[in-house]
Amino acid sequence: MRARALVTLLLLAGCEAKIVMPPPPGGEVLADGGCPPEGKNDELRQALSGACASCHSTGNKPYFASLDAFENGLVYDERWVKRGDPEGSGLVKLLEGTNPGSYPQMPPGELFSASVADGRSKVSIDDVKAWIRDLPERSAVNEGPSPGAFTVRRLRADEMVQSLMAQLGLTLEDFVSTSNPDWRNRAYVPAGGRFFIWPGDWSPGISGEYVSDSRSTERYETLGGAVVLQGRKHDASLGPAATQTLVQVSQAWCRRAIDKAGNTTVLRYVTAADTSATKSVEIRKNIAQLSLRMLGEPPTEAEISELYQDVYLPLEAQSTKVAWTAVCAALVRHPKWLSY
Amino acid sequence: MLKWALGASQVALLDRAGLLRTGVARADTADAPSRLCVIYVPGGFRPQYHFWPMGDDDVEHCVPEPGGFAGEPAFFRKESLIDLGAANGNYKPLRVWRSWDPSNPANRTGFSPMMYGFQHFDLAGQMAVLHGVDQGTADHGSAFVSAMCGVASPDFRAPALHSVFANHVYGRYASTRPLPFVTVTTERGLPVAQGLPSHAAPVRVPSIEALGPQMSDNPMTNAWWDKLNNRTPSPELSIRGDALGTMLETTALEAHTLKQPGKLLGRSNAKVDSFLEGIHGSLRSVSRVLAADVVSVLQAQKGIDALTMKPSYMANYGLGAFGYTFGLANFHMTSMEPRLDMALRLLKSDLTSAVHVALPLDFDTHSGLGHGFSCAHGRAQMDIVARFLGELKATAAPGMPGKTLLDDTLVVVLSEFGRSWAYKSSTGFNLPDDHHPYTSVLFAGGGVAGNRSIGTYDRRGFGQATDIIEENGQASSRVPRSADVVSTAMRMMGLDFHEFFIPGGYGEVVGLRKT
Repeated sequence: MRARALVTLLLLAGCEAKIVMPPPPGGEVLADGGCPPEGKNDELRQALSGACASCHSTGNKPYFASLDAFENGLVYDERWVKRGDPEGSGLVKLLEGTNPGSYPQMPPGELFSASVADGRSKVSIDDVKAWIRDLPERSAVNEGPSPGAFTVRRLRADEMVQSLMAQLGLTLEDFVSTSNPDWRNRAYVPAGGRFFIWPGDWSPGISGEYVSDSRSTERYETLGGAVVLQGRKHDASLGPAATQTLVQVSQAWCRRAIDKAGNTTVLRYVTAADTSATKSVEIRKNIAQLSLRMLGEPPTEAEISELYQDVYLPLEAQSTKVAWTAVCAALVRHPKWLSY
Repeated sequence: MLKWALGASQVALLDRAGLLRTGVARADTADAPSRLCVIYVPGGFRPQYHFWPMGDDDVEHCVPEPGGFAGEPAFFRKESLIDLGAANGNYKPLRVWRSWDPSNPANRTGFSPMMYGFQHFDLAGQMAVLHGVDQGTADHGSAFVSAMCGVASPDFRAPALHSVFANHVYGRYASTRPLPFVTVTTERGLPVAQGLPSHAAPVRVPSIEALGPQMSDNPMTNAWWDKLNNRTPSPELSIRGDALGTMLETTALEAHTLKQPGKLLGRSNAKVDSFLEGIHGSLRSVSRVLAADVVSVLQAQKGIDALTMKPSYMANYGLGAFGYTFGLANFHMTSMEPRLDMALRLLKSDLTSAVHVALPLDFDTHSGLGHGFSCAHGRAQMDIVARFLGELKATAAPGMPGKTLLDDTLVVVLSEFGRSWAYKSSTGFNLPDDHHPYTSVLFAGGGVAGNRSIGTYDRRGFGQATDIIEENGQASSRVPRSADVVSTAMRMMGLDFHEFFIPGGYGEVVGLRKT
């Protein structure tokens, strides 16, 4: 019973807020992928979406982004909808072109009836008025978290730096000079050619001692890291600049982990001396463990084979260290590693 | 609790902007500039000391008595105002304080050569200033966002103008400009592509020294590319496997990596798919940059060329092309040159469509000396802008016979807002130095109607109504907003109103665009 409920829940989750590209020109912008409307309000949201969602799915008035957004931002905001009073509702005035605000008409520049006529709106102004007259009370609205909500975000730069160091068995000593006994409390002196990345406002930076190589902090910012002291926020997107840095760091740090004496984070079941000629089973086993280590889930046989055939084998002839660097870097660049 | 983000998608917005319907939108105005350079002045500046916006009789009410700052002349009276050039149509020409000695602009005894650069390089015919722009906020962060995208908000609610433009011309230059949008320096904020494809997101190229480790696959520079930089060309594919009509050179590792995001499509909602598309686009962009060896190209490209011979009027300043000193040694500006040199390299090398560069001096002074600082340094920085424009004017536009780089570039100089205005009281001038939500914007280069001063302020520095064509084509008269600045820049670059979208509405300020 519980299993069936879970399956039902997941199916519903799959339906949530599925937004598809519109067929140009015109046509619906928002369609919930065949999911039935979740009540009268959702029916109206879907019916109006063709006329309204193109401007109101994002930004500061994203009423059509989801049912919750529709209900919380429009339906139960008396500025727009007065339950039982369609003539007094701002939404109706907007659709009829009589709204006293800066936008008298929605959609701007055309009559709502044109949207009805060409099919972008599936409901007429009379339907909208009837819906407002019979609008259910707000108490009927579920304001709890939606089980269908699926959010994904990129790893922040600090998470990337810390995760990668831990997963690859690297520590600060692999990147900075330790010749001064008090090196931890002084400005770090990065060793050349290690592609060190460090936030400008982490210790020892916050104690007034800064990473001596500004490139290290510059890279951190390019990776999208926040700098509290400069008021810079974490970059929520993973654009080309961050990816550019990640591509470099994935290869540089993976190679460093492989070269590090006694470090078995990358080479656990094989050594750099082992080749596919005699150790193909062990190599595949090592790919599997490395994938599990980096991505947090056991890889399928197909995934292991793809890494083995497409990445490891073509590069093994160059050198096994090069091949393992590539396998490791491929996992760091995998969407599952990059996201949370 | 509002859950705006739940199931939200940028797709609809992009469709409204006409940016995704055919994959990428294309500019349809052949004569419009194909490059954008945004020069951002951090901290809020006082444009009234650079380009006088009001009537001459207002000077004595809004500009402190002439004096000095750090050994330089500061402030002026109406008698020293001049037009930068002949009026262009029924519009007020640009009007500036002639602080220089007309018989010898290099003379610094009682004079300042600053701002003479606009005359020296004969720039008036390719520049205009919009005054009295309402930024919608007096908070630095929100105002920066407002200046970049036209919507005042702590976070971007629309893509930055650079991103919109880079995306707009991407189809035309995909194979020749591997860095569609570059930020050189990012003081006080990073313009973002908010929802646009990853090729419209900024790539940071902070310095020539940072280029190698960041953007090179040469093992001599980055040892971890040893035997991993063998690239093979193949048709470039979208995340769904559709041919994009271009070729992409990838390594075996990159080819494998590019296959992974597509396998996860359709497992969740559109937002996740959009995230995956972003990763895929970014990975393609990285391969393109590495294959193009932009490091070698930029290192070989000369940024400062015409200005290598320092302009004669700068003879007594002793610093480089983009430097200045105050007094004998009261202040040395040396940090301007690397960033403007990089911006020039990027524009001249034809690697990029949009460049953002923040200037190094921050005007957030909050001090009794703030007005003097704004006047002296502001005019010095504007003179550096003039030199930058002069260098662009002296350079042929790559691949565009008969055009200078300035003809083919729209340069927009702005700050996040203004700073509170000086005003006269019974005891003299009061000099408040706080944030002020009204500002001015300098447009220069391609697409700009020459020598026009549009819009104005009242004597307390509040913007006044000017003629605007709204996005629906209606004429109106109102105080311009940051959205109108972005919109007007878009129109200068050949975009029609329906080809971009700024939440909250927008219009084009009349008189700024070359028609």
